[in-house]
Amino acid sequence: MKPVTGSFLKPDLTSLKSVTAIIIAVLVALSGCTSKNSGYRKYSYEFFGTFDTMVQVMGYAKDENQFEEMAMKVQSRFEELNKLFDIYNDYEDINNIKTINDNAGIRPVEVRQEIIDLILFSMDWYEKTGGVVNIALGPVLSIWHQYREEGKANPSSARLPERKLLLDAAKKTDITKIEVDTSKNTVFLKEPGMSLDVGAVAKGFATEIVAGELVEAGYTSFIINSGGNVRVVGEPRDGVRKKWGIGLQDPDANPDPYRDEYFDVVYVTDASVVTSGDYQRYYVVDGQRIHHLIDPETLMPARYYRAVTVLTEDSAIADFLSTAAFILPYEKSRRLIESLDGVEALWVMPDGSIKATDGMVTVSRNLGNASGK
Amino acid sequence: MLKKGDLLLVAVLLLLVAAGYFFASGRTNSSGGRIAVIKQGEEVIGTIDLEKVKEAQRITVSGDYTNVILVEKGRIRFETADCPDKVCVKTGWLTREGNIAVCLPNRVIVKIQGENDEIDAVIG
Repeated sequence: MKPVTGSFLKPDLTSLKSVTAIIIAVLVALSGCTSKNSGYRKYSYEFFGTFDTMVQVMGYAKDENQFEEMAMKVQSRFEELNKLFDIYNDYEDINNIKTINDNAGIRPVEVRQEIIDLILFSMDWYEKTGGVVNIALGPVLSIWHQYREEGKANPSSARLPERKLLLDAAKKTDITKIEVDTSKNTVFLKEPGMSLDVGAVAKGFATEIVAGELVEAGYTSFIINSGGNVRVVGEPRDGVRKKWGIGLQDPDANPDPYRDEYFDVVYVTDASVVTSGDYQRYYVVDGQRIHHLIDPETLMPARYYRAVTVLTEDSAIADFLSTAAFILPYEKSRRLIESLDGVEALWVMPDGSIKATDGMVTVSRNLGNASGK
Repeated sequence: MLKKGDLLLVAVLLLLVAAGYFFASGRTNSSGGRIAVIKQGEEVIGTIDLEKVKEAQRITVSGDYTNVILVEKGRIRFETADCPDKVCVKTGWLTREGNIAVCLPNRVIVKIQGENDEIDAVIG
């Protein structure tokens, strides 16, 4: 024991040097880890009140203030965009989509640039997808909306809309009768009774606007999840992972805690992931689930899948395409997705089996053994 | 050359550093008790240390609708709700850090504090 004590008290200089060197090496190694792990911390913030959903902001930041600043930017911008893209409510001093609808067949309405951009985007992608998602389907979708709300409030008297009602409404859904004047920033629905419903695209479009503005403001690592419309930017800053993990919820939402709650996880960076599913918004008629994704051809809910998940960088495109891919039958749906650059998809068939494009397989935990590292 | 005593010194210091590191990371990642937070709108209406729950308890949250939240040791869930969708109930038990369940119509969030370091977002 003596030599040990002695060496504690009087270490000779050379060995002290090497001890110090070792300790410093160890400290550097650990502090490297520490700064990687705790130099940035992960924060999240949730808020309600926009786009009929909850929006979650998540990001790695040096401290809470830095994160809060970003989260507040997201919330205030979402609140503004929600007013602009709202089809149900009026707001003082703002012309929004409802204002355009209220003036169908009457007069052009001057609107903010974001609305012009949203409408032009939707008309462009209507063409690109062969007319499968139509923002002029308002008259039909508002009937479904009304029956769904009544059916949810009084399940015993829930019913389907009459065929004739839907067919009459479908006569006023010609997208070519939307007149956009980009020099005057006006939108005019040329036929009385027309109305826009931007439900298939507004949330994704808003998310993309806000994500873009955060990047411009210098934020490089964050996620905006607007009710299942996930936009990720950069890499997680935990020093370990290279990709974000996005859990895809089981369409049957099995509440067994001892089972993995996600039916798959995709690992991505600088991407958007959006799911359209028959379980998201629906009501029940005679034991049958009547969901909100309406095929403009049949005017009825599409029935080829439980869910379709689309992965591509732009959140607006991902949102639009997840609806389009859900409405089209599988052959056409897959052909559409594969015809587009940088777009991947995963289809959950009615029997629960999974189909996916090659690029989706690569990023999937279950199909491609992917991970976040 | 290092002497035996030096090696011991290194070992002790290593242990100290490791312990400090473990302690610090344990604190920041809160690998201790899991804390469930119940929020309605922006307001925190309850905070529960799930590890300290001995007997099952129910918390009723009213508003436009009524949610009943069930708390057991180590886990929490929406048990019943009179909202139309019942998405919150279908979400089931929350057990891990970062797990979240939401009742949109009643603006209620139940979340287990801390962040999940593998799954960053969930698409429902």
